[in-house]
Amino acid sequence: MNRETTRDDHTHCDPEVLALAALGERTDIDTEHLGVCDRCQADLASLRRIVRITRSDDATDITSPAPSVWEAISTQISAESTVENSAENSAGVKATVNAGTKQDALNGEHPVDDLADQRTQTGRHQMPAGPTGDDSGVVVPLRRRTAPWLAAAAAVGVVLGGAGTVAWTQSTDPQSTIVAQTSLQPLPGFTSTGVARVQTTATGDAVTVDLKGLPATDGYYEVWLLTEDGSAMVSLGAVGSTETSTLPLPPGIALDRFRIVDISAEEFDGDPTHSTISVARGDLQA
Amino acid sequence: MSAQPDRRRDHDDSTSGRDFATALAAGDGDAAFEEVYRRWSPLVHSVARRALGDGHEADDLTQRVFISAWRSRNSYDPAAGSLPGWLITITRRRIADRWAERTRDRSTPDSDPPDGATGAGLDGVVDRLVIADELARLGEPPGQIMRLALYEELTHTEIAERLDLPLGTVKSHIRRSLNRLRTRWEVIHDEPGNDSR
Repeated sequence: MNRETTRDDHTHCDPEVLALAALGERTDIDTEHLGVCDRCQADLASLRRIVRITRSDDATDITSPAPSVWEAISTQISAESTVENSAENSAGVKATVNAGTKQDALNGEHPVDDLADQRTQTGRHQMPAGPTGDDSGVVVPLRRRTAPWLAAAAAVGVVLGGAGTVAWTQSTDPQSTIVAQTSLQPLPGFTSTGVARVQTTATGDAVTVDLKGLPATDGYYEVWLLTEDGSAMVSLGAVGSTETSTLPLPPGIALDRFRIVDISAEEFDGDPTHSTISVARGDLQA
Repeated sequence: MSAQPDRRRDHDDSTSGRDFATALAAGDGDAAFEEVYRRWSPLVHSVARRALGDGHEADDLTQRVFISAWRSRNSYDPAAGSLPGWLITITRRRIADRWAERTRDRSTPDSDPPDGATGAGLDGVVDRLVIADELARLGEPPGQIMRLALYEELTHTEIAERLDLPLGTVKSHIRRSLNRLRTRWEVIHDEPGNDSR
């Protein structure tokens, strides 16, 4: 295993020894061969460059954008796709998007400020924009709403868009109003994404879940509302893996407490408890 | 429970430029673009954060970069360069735009970009972050082995003792991982518009 069998010339330097030498280890590298072989010299030099880059003093933290960034991009590109292909409009677009605002925001010099100004001017709710305090580079533009947010929002028909880009939304059902929503982000090991929306309707509150990228399963997927620390949870019901599902909310549930929408992978094992395998999750109050 | 899912590790290198171009041609660009975003937005965000010095601005810049990428997606040619290289080129342009805006807005001496924020100074930042991004994807134990070798500068013998692994295993991981980092670095530098630096 010390030599690559694909090499036709076994007199070249051992690639493992070259790697160790590039890291600065004292090795028994064949210096005689190295001195005359352009290929081995180039190999060693390019590996040394990688080592030198990684060992430079500068911090190399990899940071992820806030979840709201993808929501904003996704909203923008679907709006542009809709314009590009207006034939698709007949399929029904659920969200009525203030495209002008988004466009201005994207092209403007202070897009986040513009959105904040717009929101403040409407008097609907404040958006204290800014870093969250940790140094992760993650920014949450919309922070927690005040306590009676659900009732207040419902009363004026306001949408609490996670990305701060959806100014006003009405579902296709004129009797229902979306009062909270969150994007569902994949947990490690999964790629499923989606959106969960809380709606008030004439017959009570419900959560509509749109999911995509769920792996095929012999079991099923289940929607839960969890408290932030996971100490309590409520099952809302099973969902299909592709279509949009609407599940009724237990009347009186405190969504400021049960704020995490969680999608779990379940087996047909007769066990009603959470399988502990969560595939995607979102925070209704983030 | 409320922690952000670590997206760095759940999207591996399935999103190659060729796959993306193929998906676009097949009219399946939306899903492919989201995969591209999941895979590469941390690198774009990290470069933006170093260049602009602020996570909030980096979020905004990441948004601009991927909107730009989406709008010019049909001009992306995998034969001309790698997908991450293309995204980095767009990132550098949007960073330059942003610094031009800042300079115009403030017209004060301290609004000039510091070293490492634009141009050639940004090259080193990009290099380091590209490799850090790849290093974060190595999985375990290769990731741990490489952190000990690169940052703590332990020898392979010391690493084998520390992790209780056979010497041959450690050497083999070091060779493969270092080659993988090199390949990633080379792929990123194989980008369309690289000559416009």
